[in-house]
Amino acid sequence: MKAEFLNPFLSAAKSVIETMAHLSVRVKALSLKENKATYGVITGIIGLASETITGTMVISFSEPCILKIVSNMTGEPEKTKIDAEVVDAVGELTNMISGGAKNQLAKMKMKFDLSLPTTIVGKNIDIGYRANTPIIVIPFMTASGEFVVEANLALRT
Amino acid sequence: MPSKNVKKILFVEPSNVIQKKLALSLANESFEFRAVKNADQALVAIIRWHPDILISSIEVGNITGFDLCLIIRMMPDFVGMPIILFSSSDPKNASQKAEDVGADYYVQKDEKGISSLNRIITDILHVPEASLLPSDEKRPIRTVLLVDDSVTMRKIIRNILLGIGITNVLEAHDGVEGLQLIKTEAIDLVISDWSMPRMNGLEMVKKIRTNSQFDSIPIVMVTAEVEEEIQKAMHLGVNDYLRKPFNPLDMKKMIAKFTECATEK
Repeated sequence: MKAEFLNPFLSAAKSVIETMAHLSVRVKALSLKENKATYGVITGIIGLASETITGTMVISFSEPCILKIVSNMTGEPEKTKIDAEVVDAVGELTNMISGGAKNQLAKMKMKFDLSLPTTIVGKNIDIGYRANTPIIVIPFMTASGEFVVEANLALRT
Repeated sequence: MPSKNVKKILFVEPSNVIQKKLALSLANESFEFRAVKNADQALVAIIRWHPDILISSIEVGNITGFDLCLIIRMMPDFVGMPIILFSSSDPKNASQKAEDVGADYYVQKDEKGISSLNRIITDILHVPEASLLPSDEKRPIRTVLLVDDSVTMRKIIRNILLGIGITNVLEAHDGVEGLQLIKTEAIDLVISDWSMPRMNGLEMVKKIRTNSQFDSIPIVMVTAEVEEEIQKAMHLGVNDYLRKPFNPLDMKKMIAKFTECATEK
């Protein structure tokens, strides 16, 4: 996969978390995912499709990371566990990150349509990635733990 | 205390929406505006507050605007007080009846009628017409309608509004609920998400803008949509937009464009 497809997701994720949750974010080395299981305790998934590209964007959070993000976003005390509001926040973050990436891709003359996000609660739950398509993992580190963005995009045949 | 040159306008109207609309249309430092819902309240306000002019709807309860006008004309201290009657139903011979009960003017309660009130008040109170116009597009914002299916986003925006002193924030989960609130509440500013179930923000904006009663309410769209789509929304009547992600200062600056009470903090 070309870096030009990945960079918009990378910069959108960093921008959304830093702007909305006031949390400094550091990007770590990219890797290829070798299984289909969710990375964190809560995961947002959104489908993307253009004339030439189709696939999925996934964002998955460790528990301390997402609880801190939600607390910073809403200005409320940190929750002790994942609840409906955290699920809602992950849906919104997934929307914002994929929307930000879509916006940057549009500037590169690549128009994407986005599906509505779905959210999965639980670790090691299998995700329906596209077969025979690499899953590129972009890990992000914050002071409160890690989250990952995964891009599973392929050229339409 | 108002200065000597400030003119006091009493408005008798049961609908909060119409009250608000008229207050905004007459928003000016030359006027002190007070609104009541029925004739009984109007009589108390007249005696205690001594307005310079009375604007009354005809449909204000058991005592109609016509009756109210007749009663006022029998009160020695208020015989000469200018009275404007207006009505949405335009009862038969209303104009003649208004004249018979001693009203100075009769106007239709529609957009044209409400805007003509400016000119009529100018004539009656001898206020330069230019001073009736707001100095810019800013208006006092007291009630904000927040339309977003995400409870997180509503909390974020509500907190920002609280930070600039806007405490009356009504919340709707989607465009359907948003439209219902617009019809029943006096809304000064709508902040809406784009993508929502049942009715999205764009469909809601279309419906708001096709209703002349609400077409002057400022609408801000908060969205992660691409520029091209946002421009479509602007053509449909969205006044401005804020792109997600945003920080509190971005939102405050946006609201400050439309309100007198929002300031950068």
